Amino acid sequence: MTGRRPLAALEARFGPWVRMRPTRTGAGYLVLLAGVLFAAVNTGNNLLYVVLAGQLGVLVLSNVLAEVNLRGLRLARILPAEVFAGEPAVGAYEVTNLRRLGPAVTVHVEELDEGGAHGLFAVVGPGRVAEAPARWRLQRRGRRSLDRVRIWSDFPFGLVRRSLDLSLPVDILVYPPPLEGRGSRPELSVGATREDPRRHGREGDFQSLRPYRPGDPLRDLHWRTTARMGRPMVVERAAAGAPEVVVRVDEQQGERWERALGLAAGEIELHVRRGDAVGLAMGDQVFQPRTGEAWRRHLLTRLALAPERPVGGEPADE
Amino acid sequence: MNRAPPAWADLGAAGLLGRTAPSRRAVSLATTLLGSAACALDGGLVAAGVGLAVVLVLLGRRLGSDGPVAVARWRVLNTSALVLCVLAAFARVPLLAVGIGLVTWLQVHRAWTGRSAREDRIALLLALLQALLGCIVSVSPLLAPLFLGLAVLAPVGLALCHLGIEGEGARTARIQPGGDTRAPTGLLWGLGPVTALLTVVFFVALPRLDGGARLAATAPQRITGFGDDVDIGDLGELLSSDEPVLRVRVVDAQGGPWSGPLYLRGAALDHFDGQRWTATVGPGARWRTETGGGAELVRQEILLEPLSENVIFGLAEVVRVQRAGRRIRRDANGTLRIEGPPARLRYTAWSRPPEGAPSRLAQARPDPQASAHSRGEQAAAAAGSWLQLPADFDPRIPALAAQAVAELGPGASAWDQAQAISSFLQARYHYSLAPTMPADGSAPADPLAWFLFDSHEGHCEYFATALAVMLRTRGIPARVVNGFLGGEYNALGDWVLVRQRDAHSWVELNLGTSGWVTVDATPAGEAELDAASLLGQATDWLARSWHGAILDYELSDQLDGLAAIGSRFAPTGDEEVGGLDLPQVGGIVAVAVGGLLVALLLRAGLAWAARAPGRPRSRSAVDRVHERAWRWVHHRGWAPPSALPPVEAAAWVRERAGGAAAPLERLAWLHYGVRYGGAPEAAALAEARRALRELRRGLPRGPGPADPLLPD
Repeated sequence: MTGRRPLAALEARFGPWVRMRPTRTGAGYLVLLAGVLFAAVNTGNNLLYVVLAGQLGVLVLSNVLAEVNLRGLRLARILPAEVFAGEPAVGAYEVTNLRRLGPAVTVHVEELDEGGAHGLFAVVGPGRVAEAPARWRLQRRGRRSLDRVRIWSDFPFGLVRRSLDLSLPVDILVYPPPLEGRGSRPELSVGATREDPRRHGREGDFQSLRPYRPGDPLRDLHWRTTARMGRPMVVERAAAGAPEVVVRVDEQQGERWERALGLAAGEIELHVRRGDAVGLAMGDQVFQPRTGEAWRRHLLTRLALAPERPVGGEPADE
Repeated sequence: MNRAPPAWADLGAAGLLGRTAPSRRAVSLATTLLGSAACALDGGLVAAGVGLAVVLVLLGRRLGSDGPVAVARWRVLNTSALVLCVLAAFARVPLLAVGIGLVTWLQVHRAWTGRSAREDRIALLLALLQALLGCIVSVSPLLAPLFLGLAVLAPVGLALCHLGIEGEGARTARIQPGGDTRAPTGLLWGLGPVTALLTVVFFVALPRLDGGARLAATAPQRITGFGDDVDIGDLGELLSSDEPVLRVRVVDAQGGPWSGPLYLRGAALDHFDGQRWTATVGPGARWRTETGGGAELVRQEILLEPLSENVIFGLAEVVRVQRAGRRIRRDANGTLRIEGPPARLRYTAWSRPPEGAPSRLAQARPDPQASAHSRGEQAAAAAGSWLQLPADFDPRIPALAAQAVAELGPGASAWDQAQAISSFLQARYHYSLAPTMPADGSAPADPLAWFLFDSHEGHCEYFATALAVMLRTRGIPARVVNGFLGGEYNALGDWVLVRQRDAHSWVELNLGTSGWVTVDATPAGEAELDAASLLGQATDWLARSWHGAILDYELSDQLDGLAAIGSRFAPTGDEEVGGLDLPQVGGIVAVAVGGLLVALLLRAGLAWAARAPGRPRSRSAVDRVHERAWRWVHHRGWAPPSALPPVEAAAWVRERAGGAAAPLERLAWLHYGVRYGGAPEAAALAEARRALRELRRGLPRGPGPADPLLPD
């Protein structure tokens, strides 16, 4: 858990703390209720008591339904397989309504720590599971942690907002954003070198299975794996004479270092798409060229976990 | 967890939020119409203005737009309307009327320019404001269905507006909602009846701060024209007005329905100047009601509409009044008046039976001093107030009185003389609400003489005046009484509705210790109760119920309700606790306990509804110890493959951690034995706890789990 949690002990014993605050409309409603109460008590007008009773009835019902609305919900994040710094990562929130009775209505889910994701569930019936799309945007590469999530709702009347902060810790690896070099041809930018390009083939040894990308020939589809995974999967084979590329990242500092990592990521993406065997040289680490989706992720992971190099300072530990 | 993002499906959930728009707009329009109707109940110009506004609202819903030109145009109109309201306020137009006009104008504006859910919610809240203003300006029973409609529709409308606002907000923020595509219709439409029920509960339960008869409102009150003088000089036709004056339920001394004539005494008058009867005895002193002698009394429950004079009505002689809420004064004529401004009053009066047996009355002798209840009455008796005659008195009247009693002979009792004169008048004079005028059209100088010697016809005031004056000429103290006689019996509500047209005058003569006795010289036919039509009865019953249940609900009703509940549980008695009777205290306790039980049941019900079905049965104590052991193992950094069953996983840990992990294997086997082998739990539990203690003491730290983010 991150951040200040002065009520952590109480929450551990009694469950998460439901916060309540009136909305703007709710504040106006309360002011009107106070006015009617004052007028009713002072005048003794029973018709004002009728109006007051109705307002209190609405308020009580609002509080009861709002309280039930946020209970019995199980929340999970569905994060995309790959997250790049600074780019929207499209995922989803998943809510399971564990209740026997009563739908969850207009439930919002917001990321509190970083990422800025926001999901909205219109109605989730009792015993049902629903997903709501959400976008995360993480600004920095590396190992990031998402923890606190807030679920809130103004249901039923928009008078009171109830919110509940939950802890859903998860660690994410954020890759550097794949940057393109200058010009239409992917020329080498500062810090990245391309050497001995080779190509993918179609008749070579089996290398890996990867998700289908637009442009892949349909005859490369591996139907058995596709049926099992529930999404199109293609076979990736090596080919004789496939070009080999080694991307070298020179040591930089500060923003130049981050840009160099981004350019390297861009080069890796480009060449893997072409079917080249790609390697990486970064400092004293050298990774020999290989092909395949798994190798691509490995290289991106190495870039993501590269230590930071602040200007004028020592590189941070990985 | 990392999974592939879901496919972006249809706009089902967003469509759900948008599909509520037609229902939302319909409910918003309905509440607008209900609120406008509430404002218009008072009638007059306000009603006309509201009616026009309703037409504009309906037109606006069909024709209006929210384009920029329309918005700009309406801005000018709104400013003009606001200026008009300010000017009206300065011109001393009632502020309530100005407020109604302003709120209604805002409704028209919303109808023409509002299309979004937020606008519909504003319209709904304006409707509630209209209802609030309506209940200040009117107390009409028609408010009941309007309030009921609002109580049912307003919560539904608010919920639909909330869904619409969420949908519009999601569209603006480019958020794609997820979830079901069907609206929770049952939940939404169930909000209305639940809110209506809660409204009733809160209305009954909210404590009222003062007891006594509740005034209806600060609304302009309808004052009926009952007066406390009689002017027989005005020979104009007495109009019959159907305006209700009071409703009364009478229970006789035996507890059964009252069967006698319903003479509801109001104000008694002692001084006659030849034209008018007035009361000259002064307002009287504060009256203390009698507290004892209840067995022979006649009880009357009266709901009195606001009158120009705050007179307490009841069968003669009223000896006790309860729940009037304010102090009562009694003058020397026996007239009871309640202090304060005219208001609707609800009270219970007890009266002594108005008459004794005729034989007893025939033996009684007039003696106002003997029947006096106060110094004021004694002073009035000493001053001869009830024997006063006008200065320019027609000398033929005493002769006529003597003629009327001639057959009785000398020494006839006052009672017999009164009966004889009364019979004389009934036989020789006719009842008419429009008595004959003098030929020249002018009012007669002596209207009583005109009645007795010329026209021979008149209404009850003439008969009462004639009887009272003729009795006074015989030396019998008498006074004229204004009140009401008869009415319409309402079988639905078991009460008698008395209208203005039931106003009547009669005479009271003094019979010493028998008190003041009623004698009515007006020809018979006025005393029977009319039978109202079924529709009339139903209408009056609804009006009376509206008053009784809503307008006049007060602290004493709440205390009576508590006492009724508490009397089932608490012993009856005269003890008091904190100013409350024992049954009332019992009722408070019963309601508090009942409320607590309801709250607990509701809490339990909500907790049950919030729990997932199919939860596993509660684990055994050994299972819980086993789980605690594994949490300790993980905490110490040992993470066997998740696919291994408990015993194999324990073996995996023991292979790496050594003998210190042996208690974990024992625990795993104990868990198996209890869960699947039927081993007795008590013995296994002790062994399990011992194993856990050994494990906690001896297990070394492990390597920790592998980093899931790093590739292999």
